[in-house]
Amino acid sequence: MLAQARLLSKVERRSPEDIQSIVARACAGDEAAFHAIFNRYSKPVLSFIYHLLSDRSRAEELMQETFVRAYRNLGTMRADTQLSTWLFGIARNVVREAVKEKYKEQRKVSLDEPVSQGLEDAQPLQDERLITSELQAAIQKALSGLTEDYRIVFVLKVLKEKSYEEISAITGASVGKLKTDLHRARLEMKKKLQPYLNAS
Amino acid sequence: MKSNEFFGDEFSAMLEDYHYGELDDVTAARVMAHLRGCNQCSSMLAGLEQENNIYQAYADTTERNLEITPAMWENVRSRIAEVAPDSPGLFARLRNSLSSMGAAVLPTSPVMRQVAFAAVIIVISVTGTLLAVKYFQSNQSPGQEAHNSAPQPAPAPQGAPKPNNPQDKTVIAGNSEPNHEEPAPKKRPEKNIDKNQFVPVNNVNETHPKLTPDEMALDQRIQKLRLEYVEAIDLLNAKIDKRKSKLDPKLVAVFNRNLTIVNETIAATRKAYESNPRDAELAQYMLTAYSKKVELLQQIDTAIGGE
Repeated sequence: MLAQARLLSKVERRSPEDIQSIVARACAGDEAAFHAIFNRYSKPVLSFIYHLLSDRSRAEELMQETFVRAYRNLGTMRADTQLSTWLFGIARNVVREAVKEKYKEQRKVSLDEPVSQGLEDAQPLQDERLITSELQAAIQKALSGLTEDYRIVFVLKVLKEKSYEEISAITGASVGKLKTDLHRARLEMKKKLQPYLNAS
Repeated sequence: MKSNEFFGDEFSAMLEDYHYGELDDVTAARVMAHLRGCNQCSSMLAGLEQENNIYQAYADTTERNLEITPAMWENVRSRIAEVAPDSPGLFARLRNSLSSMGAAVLPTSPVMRQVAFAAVIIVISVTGTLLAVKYFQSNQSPGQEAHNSAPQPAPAPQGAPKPNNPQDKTVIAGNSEPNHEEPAPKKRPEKNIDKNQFVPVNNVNETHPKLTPDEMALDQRIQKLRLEYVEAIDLLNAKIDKRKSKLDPKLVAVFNRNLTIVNETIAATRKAYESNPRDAELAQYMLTAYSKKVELLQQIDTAIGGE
């Protein structure tokens, strides 16, 4: 327990050398090391996937899939890559594949179609302390209505507050494209949420 | 300040960058100064901040309600117990050690990575070729001019020499390292060989009897490292060979072009080093070329793998 707590604190401190050593240990089969990584990053990854899919149970499944893939590919992670960026990159690919698979099964639909069709959470989240549930649902719906590229950059920039460089590393898109996509995503969100924004 | 400097959509996008702290200091200062005197733009910024507050509240609410349960970890744990992680492997270790030695770190965007990689390889290729030409020409005596027309690889006056290995292919599947297994000078016509000019891989001491023990030891270390790269290249080729059909043909063409360049660079730098094994810089060029090939093959492998 103490060793695990120490590992977790090392991951949280985010010293590159510490994280590298934890990754190296996880790579060598040290379960406690990988558990520490899971504990630190599972929630951010889960929330990222949830924001993209608006489906909690699916998001939980895909978060777990992300970490399984991460474990298998730990050895391929570059020494100069940030662990969180790498994990988010895997998560993004996992989500893409899941969406592709789902639409292949249901019908022939382009990836750019709103994800909301069939994937929205049937049970919206309960907590109403910060914003009304109505606004929460409206934002969720508006987010689901964005195209994939717009949604990803909006989630990573506005909700997860990542830098453009990190987002570029995660998505593979250029910073210029990301800025353009974000700007357009914000305009679309604003248009859909105008009544709520005016009210507040 | 120009009156139309901050205008329309462009400024709206710039305001977003300003809000996120993504502007350079000079531009940020200009925007800040403009905001002080422009109520309209200040209102826009206030609106942007208000929107962001709402989105942040949404994010916080969402995350507050998401839970990581012990069962999730158990599920992950049981799945990873079935498979051991891929160990870093020789090429990942070599790559990481080169990164830590200050070798060029490629941008992480795949497109930019390819562009940057191609630029680096071109530089290495040109430099290596020029050095090879320089050393061969400086070592050449008048009586050896006939050697230049020999079918076996004498360096061309311009451009990279062709790899010795006739089986060296530039397609991804069969891309074996040039001169990987070349025998000793048998391949070259004996009468055209200047033993001081070509140094077989395993016979440095025979052709350069003046190498000191330290120089010999260094050369052995360099050759050992070279063989490790070769081993890594063979492993990667074997991996790629099994799954190469998954690659987009356009990507294959790009990779083949880069592989051609890097193979030619390896051949040129290796010959240059073999002709002067005392030159540490030539050794570095040669090893860098090998490492770039490993890196390129790793990129191909990753492209096939999808992550």
